[in-house]
Amino acid sequence: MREPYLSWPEAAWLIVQYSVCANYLFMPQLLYSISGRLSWAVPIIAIPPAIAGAWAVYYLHTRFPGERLGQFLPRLVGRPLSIAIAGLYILFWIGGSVTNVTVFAHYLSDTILQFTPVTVLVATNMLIIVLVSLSGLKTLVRVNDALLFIVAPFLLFTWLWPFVASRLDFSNLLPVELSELTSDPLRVAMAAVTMYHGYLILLIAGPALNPSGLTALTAGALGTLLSVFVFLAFITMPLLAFGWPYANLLTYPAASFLEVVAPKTGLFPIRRFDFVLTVFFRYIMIVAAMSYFYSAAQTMSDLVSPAAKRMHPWFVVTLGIVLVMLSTLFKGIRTVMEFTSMWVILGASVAVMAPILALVAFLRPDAGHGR
Amino acid sequence: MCGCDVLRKIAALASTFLLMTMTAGCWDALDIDKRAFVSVIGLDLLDTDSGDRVQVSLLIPTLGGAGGGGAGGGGGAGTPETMPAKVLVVEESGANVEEAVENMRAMVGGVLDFSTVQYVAIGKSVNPDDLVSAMHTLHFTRFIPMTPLMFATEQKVSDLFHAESPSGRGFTDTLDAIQAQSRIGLGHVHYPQSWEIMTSLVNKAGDIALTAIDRTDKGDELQAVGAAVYDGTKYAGLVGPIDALILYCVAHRRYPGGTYPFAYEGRELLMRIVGARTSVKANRGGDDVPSLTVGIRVNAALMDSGGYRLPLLNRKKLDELEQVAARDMEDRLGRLLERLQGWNSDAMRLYHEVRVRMPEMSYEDFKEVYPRVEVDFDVSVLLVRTGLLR
Amino acid sequence: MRRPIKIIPRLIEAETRKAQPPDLSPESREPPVGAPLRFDDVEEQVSLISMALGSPSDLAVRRTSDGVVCLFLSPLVDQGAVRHSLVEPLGKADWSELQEKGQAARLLPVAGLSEARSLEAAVDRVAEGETALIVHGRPTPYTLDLRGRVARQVSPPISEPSVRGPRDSLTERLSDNLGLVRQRIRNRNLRVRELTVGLDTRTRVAVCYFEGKASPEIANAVIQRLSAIDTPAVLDSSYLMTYLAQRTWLLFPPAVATERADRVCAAIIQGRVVVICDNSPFALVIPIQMVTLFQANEDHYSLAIHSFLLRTVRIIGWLAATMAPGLYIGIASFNPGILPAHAAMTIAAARQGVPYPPVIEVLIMDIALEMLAEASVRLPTYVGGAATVVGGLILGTAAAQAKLVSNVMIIVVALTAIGSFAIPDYQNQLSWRTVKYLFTLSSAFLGIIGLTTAGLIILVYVCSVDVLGVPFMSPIAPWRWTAMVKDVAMRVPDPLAVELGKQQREEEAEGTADA
Repeated sequence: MREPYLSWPEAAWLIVQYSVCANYLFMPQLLYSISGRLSWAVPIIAIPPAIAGAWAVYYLHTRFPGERLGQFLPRLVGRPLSIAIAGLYILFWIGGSVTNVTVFAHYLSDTILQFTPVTVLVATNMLIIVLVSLSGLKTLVRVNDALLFIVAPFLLFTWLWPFVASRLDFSNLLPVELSELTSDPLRVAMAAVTMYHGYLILLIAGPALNPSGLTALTAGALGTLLSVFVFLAFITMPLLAFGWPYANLLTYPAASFLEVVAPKTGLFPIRRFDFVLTVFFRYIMIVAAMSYFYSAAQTMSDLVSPAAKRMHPWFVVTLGIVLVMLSTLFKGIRTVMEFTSMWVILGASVAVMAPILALVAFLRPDAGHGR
Repeated sequence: MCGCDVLRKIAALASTFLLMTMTAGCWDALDIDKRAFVSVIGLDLLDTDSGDRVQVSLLIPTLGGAGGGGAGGGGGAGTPETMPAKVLVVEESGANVEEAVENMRAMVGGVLDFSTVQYVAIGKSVNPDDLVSAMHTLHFTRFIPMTPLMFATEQKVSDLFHAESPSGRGFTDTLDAIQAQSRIGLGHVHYPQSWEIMTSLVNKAGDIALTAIDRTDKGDELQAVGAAVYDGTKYAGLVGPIDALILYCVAHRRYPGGTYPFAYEGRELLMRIVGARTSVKANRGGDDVPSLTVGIRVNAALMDSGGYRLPLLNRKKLDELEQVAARDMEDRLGRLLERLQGWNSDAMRLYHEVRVRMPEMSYEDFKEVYPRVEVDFDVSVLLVRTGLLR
Repeated sequence: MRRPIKIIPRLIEAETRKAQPPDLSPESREPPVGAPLRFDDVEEQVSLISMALGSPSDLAVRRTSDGVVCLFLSPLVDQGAVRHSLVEPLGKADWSELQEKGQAARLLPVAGLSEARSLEAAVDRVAEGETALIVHGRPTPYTLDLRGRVARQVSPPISEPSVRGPRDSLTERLSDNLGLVRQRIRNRNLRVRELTVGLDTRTRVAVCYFEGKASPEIANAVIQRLSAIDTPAVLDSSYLMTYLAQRTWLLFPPAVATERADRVCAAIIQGRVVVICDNSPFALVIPIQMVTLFQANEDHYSLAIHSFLLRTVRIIGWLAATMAPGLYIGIASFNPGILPAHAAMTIAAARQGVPYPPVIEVLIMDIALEMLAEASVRLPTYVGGAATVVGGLILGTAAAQAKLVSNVMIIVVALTAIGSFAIPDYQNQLSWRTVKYLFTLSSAFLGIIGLTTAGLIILVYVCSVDVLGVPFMSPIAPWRWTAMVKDVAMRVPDPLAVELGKQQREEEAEGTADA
């Protein structure tokens, strides 16, 4: 990166998108299966580990200014270990990208485009992701910036309108039974730790921050906190509307909630308001999938040739094709959800890895600065 | 221009071309004029020699009549008010909804499209299991939205579909008009959305109540006759329009209300409820039978009726009327509850509060003790005077 | 393999007249009695210049006095100025009086008197329209700028009419255009750098910018890119577009081509660089952003709230122009359920009897509309009106009555057309009319999802474009809140705009003030 171009508000917004991504399609039911009616508490429990992770990434950013993960990792932990750790991140990011596009494709297939092969839908999304990755991180950031004006009003609408539309019944959250959280504490903890992982994008985009330094922490913290509202909405509102256990029976609770949130009156010009929201939320998914994909591709490229200014275009295209082929392994939303359960474990690992790396960097002041 | 720019462009073009080729199938393309838009779905029970079968009726507006529910003259020709609505009513039976729908495909001149379903009608005799299964099928197999409005009927749904309004209005338009008018008429009509019904059926936090729509005695019009209440998925009974109004006030906890009559000094007065808020508190009673207190705060506007005029600025008289109205409502609620307990229908959704206070009591347990549950109704009415006459 | 056919033109028998070079024989060199004296060095220079220019028939050689000769191309000079400023004064002067430049400048009331560096340079200057003054004893001629041209008068703009605002537009004459600019910006910081581009046409191009507001890097980059142009011909400012943008394939214009003088000056004041090309009434404003292409200068002559209304209408028009056909296909072929039931059935009823699927309907009508639009531009005025009426009748009533297309499609295509005409910049309009087909075809493949996919692809493209280092999507992406507030959705009233402008200058590190 020749010159920094990412302001901290842009970074925060990127982190929000990166966190939210397509989680609204699979995170609610994943949490419902882990923590039942008390799932609404998990986004709140997840805040402290997220702030800790954001701080760790900030520290790494200040220790290695101008360097991405794949560039400073070998100097920090040595080449063999750096490959293993980077491999973990790469798997997580690839898994995230595949999961995002695939779950969205399955959702579209289940609701709107029932006869179009899912692979075609995945390939359509992956095409855009590859195009952006070929254009560079700067384009990704700008696309994300432009989407603020399209996505934010709808995000706000889905968060505020239900309160006006009287669709919510807070007594559906009762009774509170703490046993729902404590019955499987490990899975709850992993879900909580993985939930807000958007700050990890700064491991790739950190060198682009302008100015660098404290802005990384500001962006990480603010992006995480904004994500909390969005996650609370997507996880809690289906519970408030549908109650328990009906919310748990739905394949896509948050998406179904969007369907019923539209005004009831026939005066409303669009009957399937969730359809409109689906279209716009797809943009969030695309941005997140782009970010995951770019992060994975860039890290792989950095490990192979740290000094390269750009990723090789054929490498990016090939990776995109590989991900499309990987998506064909998912035979429906059920396998996607099973994969997601494992992906959460990866997510927890990489989220925990960030503070560990920060600690190692703290203990090794001789690890070197810059290239 | 550097080589990597060229490579990027080639990659982009190749990807686009590949994608266009892959998507050349247009798998989901189906022209709008080749679709048969289903406006209303009806579920009935059909008693046959081979046993009970579910009968599915579909109301499909024809394109010649155009406009929703077959509003006449939608194609642009003719006089909308005088042309009868043109609809196609298709009936088929099957072991389940899916089979019935498959059987009727050949009868319809187009591909059935359920995305425009506006209403779902439940016949009185529908088997309770069929109702749940039908709702699941419609939501998760037929790809209909979760938002169609539901109502019940005391008659056969297929007969209902054949009602032709003299005004030429279509079936769904008539249903819409009934609800719109009920805000200023006696009683109130509430069509819950299908997801709300599913929520109640699955969560078992109370029983459902559906507005009952029947054909008039003359057979040519539709009318709202009250609310059909259920015990689980089993039809339990019918309550009249005024009872339906206060039932909705309690069941929905917040309700915009309708018009409620009450007696005063030998005359019948009317008050238009503009908002009712209900709070239900459950307590553990003796023998683990819950007792409940239902508090209803009603904001209403008094409407003169029968030439009975009240002095304009008499707040004292209004206070007295408030007390009378409240007592009237409490009495009516008490009688309504007795009927509901007789039918074992928790249409007031009292269990929704009981389960919070007594989490160990399941829905089935509650139903066993439901007839013995004591409920104390506390209604307060805030009345304002409206009207142009002194 | 097939042998190429050789084409041998048949010679015309009649003699052809050839242009006669000046008679340089010794006998002809003898001056007639009373004529000015001829000197060998002068005659040699005359001969060399004439031969270098190919002995053109419109080369005028005037021997004004002893040892003094004027050479010029008649169509390019102002004959009156030659007579008054050159011939008459020289008629009284001797060659010796013109030996020194200062004396020559005193004698001749011409501002643009200079010495040619060489005979070659003098030839080039004569070709550009200057007058060469050959004096006995001087190794190279003087050159004087007595150019006069046939050019039209300043007239109201044709392609950018407005209700409010000035009515003068640029013409084909560079000096006139610079005059229009200097009339409005009477500031010492206005910089004008002139270049010559086009190997064959040697067209004069002026780069104008405001020092202190424009980025020096951008101004230098423009000058450098123009200097590096190696194309043989530059007949219009549009030839310069690809060189300025340094991109061969462009979907959206990287510069605004405007014929409005006020718009040119507004751009200079904003800190942009303007390129004015001789022989072209359209000046290029660069760098620009996407939002600039949706702004009209009239926005600045109306109240802020009016500009908001107008810009909103333009955006709605733009959305209708690009997405209406795709939306129609998406609804009619894939997802009619997003509309209320009545609306879906109305469209279905309208489509009854139409033999073609919606995508074919759309393509038929769109292409017919494009043909109509193109025809109305190309046809002479007295025929154009009739053609438009016929086209409207065919596209409108007849097609629907023949059930070739549905009534709803007529409305869609009308909305598309009206929407596209609401886009202010003509090139921008053409770009989006092109993009519309991408949306249409994408929608035909995947419905509304295909439409949004195409939208995303276009968004990615415009986000990846930089014009002279300035992001094309700025100030929307990347975010520049001050600039966004100042002049994107609404043009804020001037006192506030001035404050915001100051704030912007403090914040911005980029080239143009409105980036």
